[in-house]
Amino acid sequence: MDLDNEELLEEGGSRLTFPGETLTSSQAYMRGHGTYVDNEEVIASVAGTIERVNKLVTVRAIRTRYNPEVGDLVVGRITEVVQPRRWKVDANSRQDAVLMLSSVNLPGGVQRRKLESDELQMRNFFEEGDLLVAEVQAFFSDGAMSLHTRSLKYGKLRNGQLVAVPPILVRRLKSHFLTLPCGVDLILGLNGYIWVSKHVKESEQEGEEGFDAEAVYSNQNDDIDESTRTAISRVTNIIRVLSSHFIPMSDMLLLEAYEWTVDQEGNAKDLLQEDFGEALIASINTR
Amino acid sequence: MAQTGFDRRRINGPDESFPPIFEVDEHQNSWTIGQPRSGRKPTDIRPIFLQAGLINRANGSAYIETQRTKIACAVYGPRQSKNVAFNEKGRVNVEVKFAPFSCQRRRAPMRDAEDRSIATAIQQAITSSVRLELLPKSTIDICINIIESDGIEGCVASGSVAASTALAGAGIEVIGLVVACSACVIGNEVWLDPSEEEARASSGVLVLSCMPALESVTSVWQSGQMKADDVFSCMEACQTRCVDVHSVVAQALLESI
Amino acid sequence: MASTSISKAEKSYIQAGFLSSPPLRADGRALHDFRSVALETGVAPLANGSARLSIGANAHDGGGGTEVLAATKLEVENVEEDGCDGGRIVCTVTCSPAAYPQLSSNALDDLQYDMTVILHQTLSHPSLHPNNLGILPKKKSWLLNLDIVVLADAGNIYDAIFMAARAALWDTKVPKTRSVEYKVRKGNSGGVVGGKTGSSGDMDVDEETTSGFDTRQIQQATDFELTDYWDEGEVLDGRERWPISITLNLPPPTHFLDATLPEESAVPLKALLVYSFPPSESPNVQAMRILGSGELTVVLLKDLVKEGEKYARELFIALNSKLKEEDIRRNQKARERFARR
Repeated sequence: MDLDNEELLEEGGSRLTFPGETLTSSQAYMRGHGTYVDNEEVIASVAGTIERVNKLVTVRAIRTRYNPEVGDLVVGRITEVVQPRRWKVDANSRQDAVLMLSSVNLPGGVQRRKLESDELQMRNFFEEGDLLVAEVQAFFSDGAMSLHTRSLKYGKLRNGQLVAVPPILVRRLKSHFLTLPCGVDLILGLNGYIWVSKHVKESEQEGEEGFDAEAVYSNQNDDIDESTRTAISRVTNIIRVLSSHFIPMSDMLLLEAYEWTVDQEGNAKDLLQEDFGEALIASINTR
Repeated sequence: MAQTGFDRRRINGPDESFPPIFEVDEHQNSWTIGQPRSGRKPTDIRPIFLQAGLINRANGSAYIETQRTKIACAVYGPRQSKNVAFNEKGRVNVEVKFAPFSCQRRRAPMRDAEDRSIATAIQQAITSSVRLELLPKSTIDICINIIESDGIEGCVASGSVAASTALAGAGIEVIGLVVACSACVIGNEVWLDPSEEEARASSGVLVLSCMPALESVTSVWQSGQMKADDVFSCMEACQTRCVDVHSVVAQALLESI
Repeated sequence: MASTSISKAEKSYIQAGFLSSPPLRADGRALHDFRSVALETGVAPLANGSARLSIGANAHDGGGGTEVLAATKLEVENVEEDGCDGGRIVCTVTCSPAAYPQLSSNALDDLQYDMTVILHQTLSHPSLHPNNLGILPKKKSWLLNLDIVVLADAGNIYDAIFMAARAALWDTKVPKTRSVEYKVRKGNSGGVVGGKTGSSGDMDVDEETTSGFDTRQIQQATDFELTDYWDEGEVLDGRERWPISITLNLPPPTHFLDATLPEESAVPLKALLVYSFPPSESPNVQAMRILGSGELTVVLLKDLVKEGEKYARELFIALNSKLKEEDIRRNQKARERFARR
């Protein structure tokens, strides 16, 4: 199945392929991710959609582990505290990511690290099981990500709950920090982990000078009232329904879906029913 | 494993062997269902002999004997956890081993000796009482050796008492002493501390582990068919009886100091 | 019940939800709401009875919930060797490593063993024993192997296991057998006495021979044969008595049902209660276990037992109606297939 025809390889068109299918001749095109060259032919190595940009042919797989890029925002969970000044973070990728002690904000801002009792000090910041939001800084030579939380937007997550969706459903957006009008904040990690939490007002966020370690690294949740909790459950269920129908996430979509469910005047748990979910999807598609 | 049961470190008996069948002893009344309990009242438990500090090498130990149940318990710890993972609360590890001559049918030393279900039952009973938050990264190993067993419920109950005594004897901080009592339902009566035959003839068995000093329950293990009311009466009877057992345990501990 | 790791902030979020009034759960359910349960019987054609049950699976793509497969298989065994006069039941639970990817194989073995022990001690108790598991009194009997495979665990695994076990046992059909006895033929000196089937000796056509097989007298039956029948056998006795379990998770001071994995990590203390509802008597408690560490009192336990019975009854009724539906559906399907031949 040779695809020398230009029309089949149009830019922007999407055609599905499977591993082993010959895409084109390697004289004319360069191969990208998801392909390999054999006998001067470019052959697909994953099952997915063909993408062509100028002379570059790539195949993007549908259900794959998260492939990190520098600058991506990810939500991860600490898996272990490794002795010399680093944390291992599970970010739903091929390897655990690494968070160095020097990549986090320490209290006071000036000190780099304490010399005595390193490990105990580290656990005061992040311990096993903690959730955090970070940005991919660089890659190690073996392909593991190196993360950093050197901004006030990043750091430990609290006041909410986590939902996991297939990573491909989270597209690269301008901002991954969304706020819904019902008082719910969303952080869409590109690795498929989405954090739904209570909204934190802009004015309450710490400024550069008054960086308070107690508040940022504390495990204490704020008091969350009932309406916010219900809203958080509702949004979580909406995300689950969307992900089971394989619909990519975006803030407009979530907003529409939320308003639709509120209009229905049902409970948050109604979204767990199959027919309610189908109705939601139908209403989104019509808009 | 060419031959099953071939253990070259021991002198093996014949491949096929069965326990001898004895003539019924004269003093052992053959008890059948329907007859009232022989030898004691329904709410009587068998006398307990409990001594702490039996095994010198262990940090804490206890030996308990109630007629035909004989259990020795040794506590090692708290000591460093062997796994690398950090846990901020300590862990309690219970191991139960049967001596080969402890039951009616011989238990082969390698294969049948360990019993995980009794170990989990005892662990459930005593873990709530130990102050594990004071022992990060540590493990407490409790080794229970059953020298003679008179039914699984009896082993669980006596094992929990022995383990709790040994923990206290090892100086490990506990919020209270755990004592346990077993009960069974025969007909519509509740009998406490059943022997193996009585438990087998009953319709249901219950083992309650509690801390009488705090009036809180750490574990309930029930098996067999019982009505909900029977369950309640068993629990109440066990709880009342546990207060007596508790004073026995306290006395044994104080004597050993 | 392996729990995934969860952060302290998430734990306190979930616990605070239970303390608020009204209590709120992560996905908006009420304290006593179950996720949707899907059940199908007859999924393993080679087994004598089978069922597949899932709790909380996505309706759309079927993934993401607790999934359990149960199947029963009957074997013949000799009473003298391993068997028990009247038959016996052996239950086993296997956990697929895919269900618990974070556990080592030793830890997985331990988990399997714990689940097996609870299931076996409850279901093999003499009070639930079905009375059509014997074949030849004191000689041959059926061994019923109930095997459960845990394919995925998203919380509330024990309820799923017991429900699947009940469904598989409900679905089990015991093959019909008939005892046979071999009598020595008259005039045959030193012929084969008793014992083996099959050989009818020499067939002397001249002689007036009576058949060596006398199927009417079964007192000294020495062997059995399977009768020729059109269905798979008779239903296993005691269908109404098989119990179901209800797991009450206990964040102080309330209790809730059907926990998801994060809820199980946040609330370690739980009470497992197994009830059986025989048709014309009051319900029985078949097993009770407390799992996890926490504070309990006898008063609280009594309340839990009473409340648990109510929940279990609702679950039982729902399960029964679904099982009857499944029976009808499969009979319908079989009839259609037969009609199309």
